[in-house]
Amino acid sequence: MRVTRFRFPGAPRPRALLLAAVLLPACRGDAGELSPGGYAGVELTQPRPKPDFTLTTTDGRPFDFRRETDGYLTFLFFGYTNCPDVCPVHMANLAAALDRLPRETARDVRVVFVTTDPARDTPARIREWLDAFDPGFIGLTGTPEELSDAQVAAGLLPAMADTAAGAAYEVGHAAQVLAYTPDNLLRVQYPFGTRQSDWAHDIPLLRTRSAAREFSAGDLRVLEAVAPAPPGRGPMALYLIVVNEGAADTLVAIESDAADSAALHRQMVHGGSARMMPAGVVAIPAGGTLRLEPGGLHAMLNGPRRSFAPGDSLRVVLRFRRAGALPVVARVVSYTELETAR
Amino acid sequence: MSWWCSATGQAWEWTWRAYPGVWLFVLALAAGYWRVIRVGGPAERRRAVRLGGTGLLLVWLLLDWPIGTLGAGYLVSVHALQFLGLAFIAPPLLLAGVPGTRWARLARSAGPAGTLRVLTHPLLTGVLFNFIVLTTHLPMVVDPLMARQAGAFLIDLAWLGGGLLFWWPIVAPVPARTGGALAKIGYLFAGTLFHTAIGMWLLLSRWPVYEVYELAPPIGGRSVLVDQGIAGGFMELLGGVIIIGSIAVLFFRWAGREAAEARAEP
Repeated sequence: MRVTRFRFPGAPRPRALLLAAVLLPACRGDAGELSPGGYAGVELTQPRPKPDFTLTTTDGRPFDFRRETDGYLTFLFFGYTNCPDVCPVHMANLAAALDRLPRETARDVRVVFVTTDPARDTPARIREWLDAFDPGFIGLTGTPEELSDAQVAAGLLPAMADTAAGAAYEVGHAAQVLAYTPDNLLRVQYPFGTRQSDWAHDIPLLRTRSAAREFSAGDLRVLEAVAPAPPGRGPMALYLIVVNEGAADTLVAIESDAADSAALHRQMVHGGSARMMPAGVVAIPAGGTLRLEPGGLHAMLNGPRRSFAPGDSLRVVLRFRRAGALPVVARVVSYTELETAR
Repeated sequence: MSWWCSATGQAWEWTWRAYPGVWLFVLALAAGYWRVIRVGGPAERRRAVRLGGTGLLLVWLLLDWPIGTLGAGYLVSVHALQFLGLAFIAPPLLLAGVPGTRWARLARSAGPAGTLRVLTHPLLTGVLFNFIVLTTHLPMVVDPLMARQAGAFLIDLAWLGGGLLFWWPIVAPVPARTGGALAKIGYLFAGTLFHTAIGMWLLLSRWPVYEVYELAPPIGGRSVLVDQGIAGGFMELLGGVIIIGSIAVLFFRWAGREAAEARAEP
């Protein structure tokens, strides 16, 4: 499977394609080959951070792109609802691929469509258009300046409307979908020509093959978040390292939408037998390190909502008194891999 | 201006487009057909105009705007209809319209009749037709060809030419062959195996088969996969109706002849 970049010879090249060249260096194999990372899409040689912008959803709510898609595999696309070719084809193929993937895979994916034609794309129009593909797709709009800034922040050339063509004008815009892995990095992009089978091939990889091992909020960095796969749907342990490069903070809670409940535990040994005790809140001194590890302080995810296997990932949110919420994507590993890693 | 319908990647519009290549092709076909049918008497000519004219009209409708345009670059279901029309309906109509006088003249001319005997041998036509059906439905062939006018023309021509070859042993009385109706029924059945398999493939495929239709500007609000399923359904149902209908006609004619012969015996 691969992106074959189909072209229609003899056809006027859509303006959308003229702006397809992004400011990002990318690499992929020749036609018929996957990228070095095994993707059908165009893999970036140097991943780029997720842009930070806030726009408005179709129901009028502010949408902090970075925060609200944190920890999710996120596809970002800038287009417009009157687009005759690239936009509907991308949205339709992405929706069709997601529809055929396992529900738990699709659940971890966010598709964000940002209009490049705010004059005609009212929130209601965007919502109606997106609903035709998938009601779960997120539609965003804003002022022309906000939308232009968002495109630049994403590393794209801002779209340009050909208003000389009258009311039925077209908008030249970037034709690729940007894929941000759960670690908030842009790793792969999908030009026009991406087929449903390409999406279906890459989405599970993008969702679980996040190479990132580091998540941060303020002065806190979380490293090496792993959860050994339990047999069946038994409780899951979660191990990680929190590095505090600022003032003292306190880990007050841990949450996860992958399990019914999550809590911090400390393993205590009394009279030769190990017991698990609730740990409550845990202080992290200024410049200190907190380790959640086997045999000591660790987190437990009780009642996983599905079976997890090595290679999967799960999303947890660590809540700190000072730094606030810090979403983390933990890799699900085998116990053998856990032993090897440590 | 385009001379033949092909996939362009442009958004669909209900605005008439001229395809002069299609007109020239249909005019050339009509002129050639006129030369073939003008030998017959008034009754034969009326039959030729009725059957052959319907065949020519069908060819024109299937190749020109809007069906030709939709089938070439937007809807695989329309592409399937074009295939069925060009390979399964128009050829037997054209052949059935040829006057008996023309067939008789052809049978008397030693050279052409000998060549035809080889070219229209059921084994050869059956293999050739299935080869054409198979190759013109492979994505690696369809995707590049449909995006070019010459390529789309080649596919349309292959369907019409392959259809004429396929139906020749069934409809044309020249060259005369032994085997009778049962052999023709077997030939029809065997000759459509690939088309049935392709229909099933389109019907059951989990992903869009053809890139050219998957990446075409959307039209009609239905998904590519649904349209592909409709294409498969057309291939199975309409193709099946045509073949089974033809088999039924052959069978009942044969049964009628058998009954008449039985009645004629003392």
